[in-house]
Amino acid sequence: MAAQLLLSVDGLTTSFGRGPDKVRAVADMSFDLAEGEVLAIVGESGSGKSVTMRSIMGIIPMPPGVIESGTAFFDGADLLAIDEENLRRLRGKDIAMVFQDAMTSLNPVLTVGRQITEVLEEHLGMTGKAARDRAISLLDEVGIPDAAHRIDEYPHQFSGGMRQRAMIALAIACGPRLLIADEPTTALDVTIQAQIIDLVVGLQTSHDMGIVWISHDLGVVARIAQKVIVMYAGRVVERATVEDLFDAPAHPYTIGLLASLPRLDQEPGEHLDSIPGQPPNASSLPPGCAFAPRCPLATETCRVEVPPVITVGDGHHAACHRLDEVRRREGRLPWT
Amino acid sequence: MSPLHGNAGGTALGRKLLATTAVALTLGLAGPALAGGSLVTALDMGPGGDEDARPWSSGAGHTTHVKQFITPTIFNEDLSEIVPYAVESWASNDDHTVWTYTLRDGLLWSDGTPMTANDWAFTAEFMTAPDWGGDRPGDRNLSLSEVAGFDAKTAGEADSLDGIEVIDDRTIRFTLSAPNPRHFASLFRFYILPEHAVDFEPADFMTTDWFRDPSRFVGSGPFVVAEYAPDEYMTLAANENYFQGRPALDELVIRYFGGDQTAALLALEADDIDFTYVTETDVPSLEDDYDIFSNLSGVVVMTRFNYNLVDDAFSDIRVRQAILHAIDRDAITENILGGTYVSIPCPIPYADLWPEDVVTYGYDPDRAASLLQEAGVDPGSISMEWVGHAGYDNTAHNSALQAVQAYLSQIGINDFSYRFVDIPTFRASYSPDGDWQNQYHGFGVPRFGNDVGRLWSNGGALGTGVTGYDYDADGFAEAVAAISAAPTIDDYNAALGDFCRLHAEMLPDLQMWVGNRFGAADPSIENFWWQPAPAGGPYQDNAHTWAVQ
Amino acid sequence: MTRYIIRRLLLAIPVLFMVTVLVFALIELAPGDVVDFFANPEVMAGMSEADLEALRERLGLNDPAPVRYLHWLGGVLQGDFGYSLIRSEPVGELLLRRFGNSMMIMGIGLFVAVTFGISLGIYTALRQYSVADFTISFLSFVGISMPAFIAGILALYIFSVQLGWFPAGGMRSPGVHTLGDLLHHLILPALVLSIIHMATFMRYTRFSMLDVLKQEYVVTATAKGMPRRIVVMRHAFRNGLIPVVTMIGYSIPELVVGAVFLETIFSFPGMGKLYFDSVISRDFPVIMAANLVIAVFVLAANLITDVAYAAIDPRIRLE
Repeated sequence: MAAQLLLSVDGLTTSFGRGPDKVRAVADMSFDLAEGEVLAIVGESGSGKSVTMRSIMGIIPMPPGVIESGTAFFDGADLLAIDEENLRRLRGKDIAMVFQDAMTSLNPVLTVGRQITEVLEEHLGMTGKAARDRAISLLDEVGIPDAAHRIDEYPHQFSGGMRQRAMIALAIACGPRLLIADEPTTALDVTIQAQIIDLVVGLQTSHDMGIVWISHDLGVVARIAQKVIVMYAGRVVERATVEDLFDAPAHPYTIGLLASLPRLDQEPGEHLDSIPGQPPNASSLPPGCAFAPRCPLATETCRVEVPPVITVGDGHHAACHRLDEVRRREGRLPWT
Repeated sequence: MSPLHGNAGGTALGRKLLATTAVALTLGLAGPALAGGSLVTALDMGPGGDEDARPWSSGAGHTTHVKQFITPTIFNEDLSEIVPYAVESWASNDDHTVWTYTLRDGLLWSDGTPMTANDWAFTAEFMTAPDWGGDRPGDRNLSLSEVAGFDAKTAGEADSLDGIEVIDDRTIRFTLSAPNPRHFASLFRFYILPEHAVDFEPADFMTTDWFRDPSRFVGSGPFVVAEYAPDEYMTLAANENYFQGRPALDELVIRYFGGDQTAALLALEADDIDFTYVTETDVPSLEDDYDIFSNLSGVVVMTRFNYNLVDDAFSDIRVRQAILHAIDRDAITENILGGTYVSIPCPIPYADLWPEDVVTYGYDPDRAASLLQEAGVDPGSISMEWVGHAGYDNTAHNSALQAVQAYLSQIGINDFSYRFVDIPTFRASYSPDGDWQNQYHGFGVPRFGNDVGRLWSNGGALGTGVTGYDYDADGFAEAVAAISAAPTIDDYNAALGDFCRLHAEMLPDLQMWVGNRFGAADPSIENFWWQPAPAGGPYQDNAHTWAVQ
Repeated sequence: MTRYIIRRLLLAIPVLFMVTVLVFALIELAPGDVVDFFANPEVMAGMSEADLEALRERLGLNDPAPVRYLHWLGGVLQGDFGYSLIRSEPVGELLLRRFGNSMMIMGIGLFVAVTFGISLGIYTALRQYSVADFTISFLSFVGISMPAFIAGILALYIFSVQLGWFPAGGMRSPGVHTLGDLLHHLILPALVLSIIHMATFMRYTRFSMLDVLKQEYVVTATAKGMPRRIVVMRHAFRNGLIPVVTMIGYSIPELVVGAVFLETIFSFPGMGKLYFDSVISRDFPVIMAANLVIAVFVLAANLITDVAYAAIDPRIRLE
């Protein structure tokens, strides 16, 4: 039986600024998320992955931000079209977000407990002891020891990992159906990262949430996601299941990303492959494929025409003019 | 009485007013029949005011003091003469060393007790107690230092003043230690205190509340204190027992402004007060809506030399004459000092006393230059720094001194500067080892009293000890003695004229100008009168006739 | 925290001591003394140098400086601040009265400045670049730049002279002792005082709020679905308030002493004018006592502000 669609985004375009300084941070972004599914959005900094989800949540600063077009259906409602008050009611309750840096994302002058109970008060009408008890049990659930005391402490009194757990507790407090995790482990060291990832995976199962996990780290993606979207310069360049992405990447950029991952079977001192060149400046994108300046297979067509989205397999799409060439070379591209 | 736009004293008019007033006073006529009401004023604004309201120990504020106490004699309305007030008459012996005064009949204190010569004697003894606590002995000395036995009494060597004798309830006899043909003029600030009501000791004169406490205070003037709010206001209530009749007003309020002229002016324009002292720059904008009272201030402005410190060149009189010739004082007084100042030939601020033949130093830069040449002095080598005090630190005087600077540089004196300092610095600088070279400074010269002698003699306040100028050698000793000894008023005025002539000839100091001072009152006040008397007078203002509609 | 406060209080003692010594030395260095102030320079007659010397002797001004200082200090330690040499009034009473008067203006002025300043600061921060923001910011620049006495004179001229809504200065109507009359007199000087400081508080709050509104935790609060009002007040303002509280606290002493211009133009007998007058007249008991009071006030305000800062920012721990 096909799972219900939790979130369905179509043609989302978000830009910042006006006139000659206008920057199109997200262009024509579309994806679906089914209930209980984990979708990873991967890309370099500035690729528009964070802006995509923030646009959907309605938390980008407007001005200077403008959602030029698109729809984002959640529970039968277009999040990009409903009024602020209705959107607010969904935030923190049905859709929750976990942010990258818990130190700056938590209010330093309120206790951790307060920051959780205020969400319970606002959305679930819980007060007093009931709210407090629930907050304690949430902290417990995310693995914070001695939760009954730590609930009255301030964010600066928590370690980095504990803070991130607290953020997660905050996010799941009202039992959201969609959890958006915006690089939640990027700021943590590797061992803590693993713990947090396991925590989220566990919560996803027990709470039956759909998750959108934003990251630039393909290693994390491999562990957690079922489906992956690769973004470059505000556009989707490849969309696939995690297996297909790693086994048979279609887009030159994806291939380059995978090639640049350090591997255990490399010789120490061996040169790491990397994609030459720099990510583009979002305010001066070339007319055609944004990756063309760095792509070894780029042709004149690539430089002037925006590549169409081509189906490569079942649930596997890529936006590229040169897919045939990639296939011909069996995914081996000259990166030097 | 209509307000005067005064100029140089107006003696003829003054005498006419005196005659009218004297008759009115003698007949004990009261003011108009309108009764009641309250008048709010700033009587203690300006240089003549003092917010401490404590007679006998304030340098000024006499306009207020005389509201609560009557004095034996007082200035008349335009300050041209000293006339009887609490006393009805006096007589002296031939050599003017014994004076007998008779108080009016029926004088009462505000609580109904009769005022007698005993109160007068009591006050004299009180103020000469060796431990008298008053801070400013100026008025005390003026009123009593001539009395025989003053030194012994104040030094604690005697129990009472030899020279004071009560003859009967209304008569008192003063025996002086030196002749004074105008002793009555020394009594115009003698505030008689009520022996029966004074409940504090001389030593506590400054710290007692008696002067502000309506439950203890007893006075003799048209008003008595009803409420004193320090730094805010003093409310005076009508004294039913005032000898000229119950005042028309129920209440006279004196508001304090901490000396800030702008605040007082704003209060006047906002109708919160009905009278205040105003400066010459305020007058043009007030003339149309307010009655302006003015007269010459009785304060001459001069530039003095500290001969101990100035360049030697200034010892030559020709150099001093040159400087006066170089400065166009008439132009400055007319154009820069707003036409409210008049240049003077000598340090007597009353034009009617200037002799016809007094030397005046008119504007003559050529003469100035030739005088310097004659004296063999190179103008470029002379330096002058005029130091003034904060009271003159305003736009008008700054501009005037800038003009002086310009005039002096015209004849080659380029090293001229001026500055203003605060009062303690100013005074401290003119001790014998002070650092002032020249002082730009005002001197109050009341029309009576022997102040001229106290100022311009070797032992006087400006004497040799301070300035290094030998006044006595130049004939000032005789001139000053003649003033003190002059037997009649006419002789007195003539002696002042001689002094004036002498000073203009000898030029120990440079005389600059004398200014008018102004007060503005709401025209709806009936019978209001005010004059810019030095230190506030006191003078007859007939406050008991002031009325509001 | 208690240890911290006690330590600060103990440290205050040598500071106050040094302040009194320094001020005393400065008074000594200034030319002239109070007797020089008494002698009206225009009414020379009647007071000889001998009289002035006798006065100096009686007031104890001829004693050597250290003796006079210790005499004063001894008095103070027993609670006796001496007599004002100019006003023949005990200094303690004088100061209490004048300080109390200043507190009245300052109390109202501060209250108005803080409430309106902070509110407008938040308001304009939320509406950055709007017409309201530009207008209020412009007016605040005018407010900050305008000297106190000009503001005072203008206020008096417009509201008192022209419109007649308020009395032209003074603390009370003569003879009237009601609270209403007092307030009627207080309002204008307090408002002028508040406007000058309101502008500063407003700009500071606006700046702080703008900074705080950009912080990540504000985004989190919004992402949690908290209503705008709570995001602004509980999350943004609670953080933005911290630097503003310290700024307000440190500016309190200035409100007392710096009001000399306003006190003068409104003839409101307060501390500022008293202090100024006492310096001009070299009334050293008043100068010393006033300085002491002001120094205590400054130290107390600083201490309270520091403690308040620690109280509202849990990241700060004082020991």
